[in-house]
Amino acid sequence: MTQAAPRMAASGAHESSGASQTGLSQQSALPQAAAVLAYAGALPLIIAAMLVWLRPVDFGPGAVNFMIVYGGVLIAFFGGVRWGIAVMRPGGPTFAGLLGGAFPLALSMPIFFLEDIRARFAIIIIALPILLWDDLRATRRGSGAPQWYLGVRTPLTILMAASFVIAFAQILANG
Amino acid sequence: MARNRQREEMTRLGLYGLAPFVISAGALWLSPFILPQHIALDFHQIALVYGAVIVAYLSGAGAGVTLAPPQTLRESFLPGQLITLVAFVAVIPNGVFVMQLGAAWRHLIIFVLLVYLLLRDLNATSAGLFPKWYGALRMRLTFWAGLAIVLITSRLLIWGFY
Repeated sequence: MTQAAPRMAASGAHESSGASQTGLSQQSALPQAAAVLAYAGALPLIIAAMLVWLRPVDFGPGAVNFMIVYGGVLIAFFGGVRWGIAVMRPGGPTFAGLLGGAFPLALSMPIFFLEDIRARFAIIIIALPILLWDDLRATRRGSGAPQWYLGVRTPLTILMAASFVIAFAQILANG
Repeated sequence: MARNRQREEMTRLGLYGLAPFVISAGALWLSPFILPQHIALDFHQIALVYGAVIVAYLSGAGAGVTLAPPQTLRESFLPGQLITLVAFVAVIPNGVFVMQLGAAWRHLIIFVLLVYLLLRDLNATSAGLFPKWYGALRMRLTFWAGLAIVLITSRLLIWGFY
């Protein structure tokens, strides 16, 4: 989304070897930065899950609300990433690709409005691996995100899903 | 031909996406004449959550565009993550830490984020990353969504929810 993007993409094929080396070093540094940011994004969720587990009476209700809203927003964000990749596909997006990106958007809405907290958690816990599976499938077909992104996204999804499962288990245990 | 179809499909999806904003604004202004106030306030909640979800979605889309081949990551995920975090603050019940946000302020946050995301996409369109019609479509959709949010916010202010 920067102005430099198309210019750099257009010039990529004609880069000198020196410029290519600079580009490569930038690319190897960027996934690491993206990974740090991604894990930083998961941190509030992990802390909230620990609060639900360890302090269910005093901090639990607030942390549960926090996790539900965070999970809903997160699913919409992942849907957006999928949509952004579909739109930039060479030859343009397919309707199925656009729907695949819009599906998480529709999925995220009940998370905010369902009365039953268990149902809200269940949607998040089911949706996160499904979205990851869809991303992995798209990458395997060559129409998805680059490998390094999924290298970050896979452990991140496991971490996030585990946080939700821990909190969910505590909610179920408390009835 | 294929591009025209693509344009039509995206326009259609975009216009469908406006429905929750428009219906909510209508519901708030039809209350208390046709709808009871408590039902109209439910619509305000729908519009607020939907706005936050749309903001998170568009932030993700920006990140997705930077990931898509033949593009390579050139912009950090940070702006998208920060925008999503601010949208999260707008919808979190009972506020964040000691900060208690009123309903009108929450809508205002979503409005500002939508305008920011529009400017980001217009910037990308003028840089040639998106086709021109996409920039025009985003402008049109953000205008109507923004107008609906202004109508919702003004109704809430009239009722004293700020």
